[in-house]
Amino acid sequence: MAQFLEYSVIGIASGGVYVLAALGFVIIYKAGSVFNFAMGEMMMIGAYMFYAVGVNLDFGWLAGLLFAVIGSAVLAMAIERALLRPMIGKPVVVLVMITLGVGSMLRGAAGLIWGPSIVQLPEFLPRKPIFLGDILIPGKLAWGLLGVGALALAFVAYYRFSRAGIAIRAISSDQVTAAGLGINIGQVFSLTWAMGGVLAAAAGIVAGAVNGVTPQLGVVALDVLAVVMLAGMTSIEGVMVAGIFIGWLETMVGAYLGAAWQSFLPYLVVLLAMTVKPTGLFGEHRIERI
Amino acid sequence: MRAETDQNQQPGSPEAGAAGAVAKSILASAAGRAALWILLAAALAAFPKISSVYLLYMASLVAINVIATTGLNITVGYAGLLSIGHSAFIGVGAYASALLWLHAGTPLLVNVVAGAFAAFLVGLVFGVPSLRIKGVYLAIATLAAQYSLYFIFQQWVVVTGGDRGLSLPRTNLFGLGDVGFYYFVVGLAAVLCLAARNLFRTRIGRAFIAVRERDYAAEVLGINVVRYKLLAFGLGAAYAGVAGAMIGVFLRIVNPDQFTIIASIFFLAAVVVGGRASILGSILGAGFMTLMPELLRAVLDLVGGGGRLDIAIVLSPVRETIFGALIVGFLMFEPRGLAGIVDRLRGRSEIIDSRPEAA
Amino acid sequence: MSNRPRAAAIGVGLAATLCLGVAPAGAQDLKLTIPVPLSGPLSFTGQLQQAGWQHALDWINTNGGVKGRKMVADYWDDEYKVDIGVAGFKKAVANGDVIFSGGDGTPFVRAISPENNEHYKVLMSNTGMASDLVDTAKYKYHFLVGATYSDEIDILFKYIKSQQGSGPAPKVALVYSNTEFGRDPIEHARAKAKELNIDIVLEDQTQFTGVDVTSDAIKVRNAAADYVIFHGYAGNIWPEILKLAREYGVKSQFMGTVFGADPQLVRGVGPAADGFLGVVPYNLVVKDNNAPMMKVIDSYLKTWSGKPYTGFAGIGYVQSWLTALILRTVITTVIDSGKPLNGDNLIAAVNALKDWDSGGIYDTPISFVRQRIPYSVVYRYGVKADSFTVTQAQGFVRAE
Repeated sequence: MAQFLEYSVIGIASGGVYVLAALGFVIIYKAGSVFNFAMGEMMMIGAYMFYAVGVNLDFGWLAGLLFAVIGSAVLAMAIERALLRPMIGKPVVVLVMITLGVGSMLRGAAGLIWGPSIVQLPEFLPRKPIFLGDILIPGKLAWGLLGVGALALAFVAYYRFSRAGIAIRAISSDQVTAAGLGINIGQVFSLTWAMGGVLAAAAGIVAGAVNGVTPQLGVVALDVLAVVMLAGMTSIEGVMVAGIFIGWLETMVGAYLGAAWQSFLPYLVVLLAMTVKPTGLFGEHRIERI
Repeated sequence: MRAETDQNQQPGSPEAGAAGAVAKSILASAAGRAALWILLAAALAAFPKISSVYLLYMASLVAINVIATTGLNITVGYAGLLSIGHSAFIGVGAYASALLWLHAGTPLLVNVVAGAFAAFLVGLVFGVPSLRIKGVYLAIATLAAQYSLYFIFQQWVVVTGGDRGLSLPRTNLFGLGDVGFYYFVVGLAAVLCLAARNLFRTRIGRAFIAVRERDYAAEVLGINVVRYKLLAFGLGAAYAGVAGAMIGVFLRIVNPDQFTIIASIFFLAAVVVGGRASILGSILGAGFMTLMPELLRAVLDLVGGGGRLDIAIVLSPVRETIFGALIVGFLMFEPRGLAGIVDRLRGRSEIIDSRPEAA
Repeated sequence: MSNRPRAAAIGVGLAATLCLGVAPAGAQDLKLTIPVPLSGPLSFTGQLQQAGWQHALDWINTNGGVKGRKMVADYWDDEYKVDIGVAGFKKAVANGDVIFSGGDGTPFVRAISPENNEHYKVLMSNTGMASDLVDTAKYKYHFLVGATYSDEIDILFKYIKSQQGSGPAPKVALVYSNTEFGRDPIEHARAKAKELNIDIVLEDQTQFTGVDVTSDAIKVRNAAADYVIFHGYAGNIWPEILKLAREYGVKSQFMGTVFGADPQLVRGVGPAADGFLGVVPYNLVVKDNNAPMMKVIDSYLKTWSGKPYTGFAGIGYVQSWLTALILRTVITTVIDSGKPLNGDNLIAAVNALKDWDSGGIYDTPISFVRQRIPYSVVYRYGVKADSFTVTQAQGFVRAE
């Protein structure tokens, strides 16, 4: 029982990466109805940016972090403006393929700039383990969770209470009316993508810390798809819950069933959930107009 | 709100000029078209005489990919159902036909049909989510299904051989070895493409398109949407199953790593770049995607010259970047893909195209 | 006389001279085709392998070549994909003048071997060290320049047994990755452990790329093994497990295999890896190494701009050197015997290699057993804040 508890705590903490990346997916989807399949690659580029400034140029981790966050936001806005804005209204398969194409380009660019070898990110979180009763939580995980939690809460607060957040929700609800009310749709799109970029960078750095960074780091994001599907693509609070849940589930499955099941089980859960609630557990059912 | 214009009826651009006029006149006459077909068939038949082992290999690979791409085009292009799990169907076909051959020693055609049938059934199962969800949600459901199949391929070691996969003995079709295989697979591809083309001239094909455009309206008109959605998946999967059976014979090995999401994205790109809802597009797209890496390598070799070291290292990322850029470029500037370019040169479109799809 | 015929005559004469003078360089060259893993799971070693070949061939060709003939290689990336590998192989051997093909991973070798055995009969080697490559009937023309993954585990077990003395059965934890190469030696390891009376207290299969490995570290902690063996990784996953385990206070002896035990990599892990043991197939310490070939390799590494000089050579790099040197020896043997340079004669020459002197890449003379070299060395790494030492915990031994 104690072991189960320990695994559970670890699992919940590890869900942090999923929460960040899933929030990135959802915020972009909510405003523009674009599912960003390049999220994984954006995470990878964010991690590389951190590496480039923090290690290559040796400016230290804080500078690397700032550069990664700002750089990712800028990159995301550029992608949206140049490649997706002109494609508004096109069929889903087109938008999906464009983000897949963008992902390929980012992978190729990373391979050209940094090469295929694995690079290690500098440690900046204190490693000393923290005791929670009898349970030992590695320092990195605990502080990481705190950081993720703070970021996620700040994000949700901004989304719920700021004017920009209201604008995003308005557009998500009804684009035409929102535009009619004077909301600058283009600006909001840029904003949501910038937020997505920031979240991607954060998630990428956390993922890169465990695995080392290579141009293939983006595959981690495929697991995040399961989170997003489970929660429904339009619920900010929902993905936070789903992210924690999937993180917990993966750890439990990995601990008790082994790694082979680990990447498969989240998708199984998703499939089951979808047969019950097709748009996800917390997703809103979008009304399709005939 | 949807502002895309229908390009079907636009005349050829001025640049096509005289060549276009000649082409138009040949294509306009039935005799002219028949002659072109015969010419094409003759060229394909004569190809092995003038090609090298390598070119023959590539041609066979292209033919296999054409079959798979056509199948995906049926599901995605014609019926509008976004499927990112296509390579899983190919895998099902490959394993099914390989296992039948290894355990029952049946002839090739039987194995191919078995592979197609197995994939068809799996395709029907994949199609079930499409009844309730659309668009991106459907895409991810197919992705989930792909992962599940990969898991089965890898873990069901007793049947599939796990990571090691299955090893197949040599085939000698028509007693001609590699050339025999080429004739077989090209013939198969031709038959299947013709079948697909004819399908879309029948009621079934038009039903697919109706479902793609406005499934509520189609339902109202009496089209059994459930049946057609499942059929779209099943049919696309069956084609993939044939391709899978052929790739097993071709490479003489079947293992799980051939059927990953990367492969699925490859075929999706082939459909999009070649041209959705177009048989010609499937052929062009498959050819392009298969040959592009080789072409790129040749170009880089020419440009890079003596610095061979640099080329090899740089080739993979450059290829990925160009691959991504081409996809994005085609989607933004030539949405009807390579087939669209061909149509433009011909001055008119022959395919049953439609108004721009709804989201 | 008009100028034109004269100019033409000069032109023809010039062309003739050029043709004669710049003789087609290909006629006497020994052609190799080398696919290199520049993308995919082995990509971290691809660049090293290619450089190793280039340096080795450069050295061999400038030192008399192979009986005066040059070895010339064509390098290409097959993205670790079987169909691209097979296509490239067929293209390369189509003219029938390639005498050796490298290989990028075992799936490729498995795919091409049946046809190669029946039809092309080209001598082959590859960079993957899968355990079933010792099946010499199935892989008739393939030789592995190194030991298999199963051999490596055997050699680690040998070390473990040597440390046991009169104590109880040693407890071993196996932590391996969820990939083919991770899973490859596990079944053999179980059987061997039973045979040697080693107690395997944990088998943990981990992700190859994951988000969090804390639960694996917990399992390692709970297993309380004497030895923990990591297999199937390069630089991913295991350093984090190691660090976490240390933080949990785990006192086991940690060990790694092949790519996961590369000196530079272990150094990068930091003080948590102090005392780490690694089994590697070749000598990797080139700095201040006086053995003849190691000095040559050292000189090339010092002048190579591709990577900074560290005093160590990478496994893929040395493997390429070794393969080139072995090729030189066996090609020379076959030419000397007057037999044609084909796959059958070349693989026979490989199999006949006994007590071959590698010039310091191995500490002992080596022989091929079932078409691979079943020797390895175990390094101990001393990783402190300001120093890094590599010593031999167990010298070169044979697994079979």
